[in-house]
Amino acid sequence: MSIYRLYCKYKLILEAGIVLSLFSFPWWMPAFYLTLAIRVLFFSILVMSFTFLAGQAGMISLSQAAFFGVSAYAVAITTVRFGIHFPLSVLIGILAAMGLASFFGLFAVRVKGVYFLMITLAFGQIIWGLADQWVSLTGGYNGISGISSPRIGGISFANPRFFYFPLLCVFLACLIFLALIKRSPFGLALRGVRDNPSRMVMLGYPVFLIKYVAFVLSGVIAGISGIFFVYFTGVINPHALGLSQAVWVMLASILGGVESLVGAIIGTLILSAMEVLLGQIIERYMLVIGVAFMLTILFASKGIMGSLQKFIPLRNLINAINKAHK
Amino acid sequence: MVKNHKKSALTLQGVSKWFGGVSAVRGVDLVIKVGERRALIGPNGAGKTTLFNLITGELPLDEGKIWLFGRDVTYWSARQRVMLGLGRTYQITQIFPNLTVEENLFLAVRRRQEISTGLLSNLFRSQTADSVFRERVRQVAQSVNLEDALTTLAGELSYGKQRQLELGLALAVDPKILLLDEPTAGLSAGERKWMTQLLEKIDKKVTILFIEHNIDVALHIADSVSVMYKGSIIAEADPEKIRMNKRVKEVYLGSPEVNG
Amino acid sequence: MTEKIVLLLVLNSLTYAAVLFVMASGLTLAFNLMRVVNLAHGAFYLVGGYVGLSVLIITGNWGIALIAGGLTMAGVSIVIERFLLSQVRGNFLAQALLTLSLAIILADVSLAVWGGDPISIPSPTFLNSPIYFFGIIYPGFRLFILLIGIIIGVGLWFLLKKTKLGMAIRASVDNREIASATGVNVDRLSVMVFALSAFLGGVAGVIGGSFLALAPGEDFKILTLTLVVVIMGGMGSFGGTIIGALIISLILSIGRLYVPQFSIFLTFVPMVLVLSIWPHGLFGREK
Ligand SMILES: Nc1ncnc2c1ncn2[C@@H]1O[C@H](COP(=O)(O)OP(=O)(O)OP(=O)(O)O)[C@@H](O)[C@H]1O
Ligand SMILES: [Mg+2]
Repeated sequence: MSIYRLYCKYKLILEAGIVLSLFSFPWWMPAFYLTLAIRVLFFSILVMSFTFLAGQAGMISLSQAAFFGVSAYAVAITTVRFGIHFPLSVLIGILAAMGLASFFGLFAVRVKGVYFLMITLAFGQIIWGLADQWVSLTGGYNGISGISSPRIGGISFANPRFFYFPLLCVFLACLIFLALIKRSPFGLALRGVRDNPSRMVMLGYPVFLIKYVAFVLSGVIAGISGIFFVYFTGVINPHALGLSQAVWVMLASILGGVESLVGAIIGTLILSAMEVLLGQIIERYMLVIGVAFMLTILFASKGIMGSLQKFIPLRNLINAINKAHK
Repeated sequence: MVKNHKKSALTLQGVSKWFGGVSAVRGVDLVIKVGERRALIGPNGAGKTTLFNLITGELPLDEGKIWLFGRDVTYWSARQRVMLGLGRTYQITQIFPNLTVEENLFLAVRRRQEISTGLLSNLFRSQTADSVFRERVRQVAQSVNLEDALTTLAGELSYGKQRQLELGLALAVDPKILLLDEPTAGLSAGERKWMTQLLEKIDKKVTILFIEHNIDVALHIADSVSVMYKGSIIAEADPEKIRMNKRVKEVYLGSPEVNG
Repeated sequence: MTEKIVLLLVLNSLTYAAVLFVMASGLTLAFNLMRVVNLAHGAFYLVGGYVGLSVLIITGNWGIALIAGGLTMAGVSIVIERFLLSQVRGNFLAQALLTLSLAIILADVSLAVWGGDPISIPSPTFLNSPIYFFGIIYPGFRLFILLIGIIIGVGLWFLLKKTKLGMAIRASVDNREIASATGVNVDRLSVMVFALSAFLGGVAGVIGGSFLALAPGEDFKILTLTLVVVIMGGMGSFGGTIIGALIISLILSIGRLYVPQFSIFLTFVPMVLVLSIWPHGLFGREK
């Protein structure tokens, strides 16, 4: 409660401070941490897309990594294979994610619960299979490398310091966009569908359409994340849209709490930091992710949909932030 | 055989439904006039709830025809029927447990025109911004005695209050015909009285078809009663005559839950 | 000429269908009784295959390796059921996610133990001789795999329809409460069925590893194909499993032959066609 009070009182100052300090990063942060910050920012966008769908619409999607990967591949392929560059390649990337989500959504959105999980898993893996097998286009297992960041008016965005600003702006835009949707009538309708779809039908809502729009929207957001990913790392391979990536996203989201967009960012931060720290110590990184995921499910099993994540100390803070924004 | 379906609120003709080999509803004919209050009674498993699901379109029917306000809605989707002015409550409470009472009612009052016509324009408006809807939510909350509980999570309400919210959700859509599935089931004597009064207060223009096990409540509200047994309507008359009907006594009034 | 290719295609897809069927029927078995969508089933396949390989190297006997692969996974699954799944019983989504975490863990463990290079299980020597018929030469071992698939299918049918145990299982699938009221120990039955399901996964791994390769990533690949089979056939239906396995493996074989770069992607086509008419698969129902 005290955190909540404190937070409410200084909310504006606090948030302005956070945003300003985010903008100041490139000036004083060591390169290593700036790189980490960039990774956290673009993966946060991906995790937010999952959190939005899971928390608001109750759809646990394992296809997000596929949307992320498809737009990244689209940018890589147009750039490297066809010589199509910045504004157009990005547009194609987003359209690819949108198109795929619109297509998957037609089938996935009609079922719920574990069926939805299964179908999104299978769909996502099939895209993985395509990336892995279609060697002439995607480079197969090794993927595509050498995608350079755009250069606009003499500024090369390959420099992390310059890459950071557009990323931060898009990140904030996605965050604000999703937060606005959350409190819009459409957001309320989504939560209605999550809680009780059959009642929603009897209230006259087009349930399929509502879920479908949310699904496509979250696919596009995931695609936006993929574009920054491929520009920043310069490489894309099937691993980026594999099942382990999908699980990573889910884990980050659940750690932060699926109800909260800010939680998505915090969850991404924790996992990314863990990745860096553990990467230096042990080789069995996936094992740690797997065990962390298992423990999260065991201790927060109801938390996937509800609020049984109290064991995570961050929960209080996130709750406070959520409440203040209601 | 069925005349007048142009003027009636609801007309059923030979409606049947099978679950696998089991026939749950068989050849039901029913005509309900505009503004009528009709009770549907019958022992457990008679097929009453199934009949409701057929009328709303939540279950597809196997045989027969359904008219709502003169329109043949037999092959319409549930949502289309709702848009025509059909509202319902469920025997097993169907509310939004993780939303507040206010949000529950908001969903109900905002429904059709809002979402279907202005999906995009709705994305960015705050859900509580519109004062018209706020006022309407307050009205409905008041009409089902929940104005004090607006900020409570629906899942945390007492059972009785949840039933009131259930009714509120159905009323908030301004239905022209209302199907109520056992509105007083599971309530205490006091709560039942409350609920009966709420039902009586519903605008007289609204046509109501309701399932009710409690004969006192049924007699109090209904203009006429239909009795269902093993999937068929076996009698249809005004409440007093139904009480006297020998066959009804056999299948229904003799059973213990009548006065429960 | 073309008839020979068609015959080869059909034989190839039938043997592959046998593996997919064994996998999918295991998944279906667990789903029917416990409502668990076991996303670790692909990991059971991979680890079972690896265990079979190790046992084969020690004993030199393929039959023993087959049983060992199956039994090991059955043992592992009992531990999983007792200590993990039981924690989130009734929450189907949490159960599925839990098995997903196990899939990740098992994948990494098997990478640590068996390494990252693709390996194949040597098939039994007495079956290695090619068989000549209808003018084509076909490896005897692959026909043997088909036979194993059929035996397992018939065995499952017999178990479920003709034995007391099968009756208890079917009764519990219909209605857990009534079954346990009539004296069926549903909890113990669940452990047994889950173990049987994992056994099938392990067995499939040894069979599959003998004519395909075992490697990291194969677990998720076979899981995907298995899911495609059950999504298409309808979750919970054995008949759907058989039909799904036949269709998907036929598509895969045709794809491998003519458009290898799209073989996995092509399985998408029948699945999407089916789903657009039946959202829950050919023989599936909601819930
Ligand atoms: N979805 C379903 N699948 C199979 N059978 C069903 C289904 N729904 C209802 N039934 C069966 O149809 C018959 C009628 O059920 P229904 O719920 O309509 O009865 P009811 O008159 O509402 O009873 P109650 O007074 O107990 O509410 C019952 O035998 C029931 O078991
Ligand atoms: Mg009923």
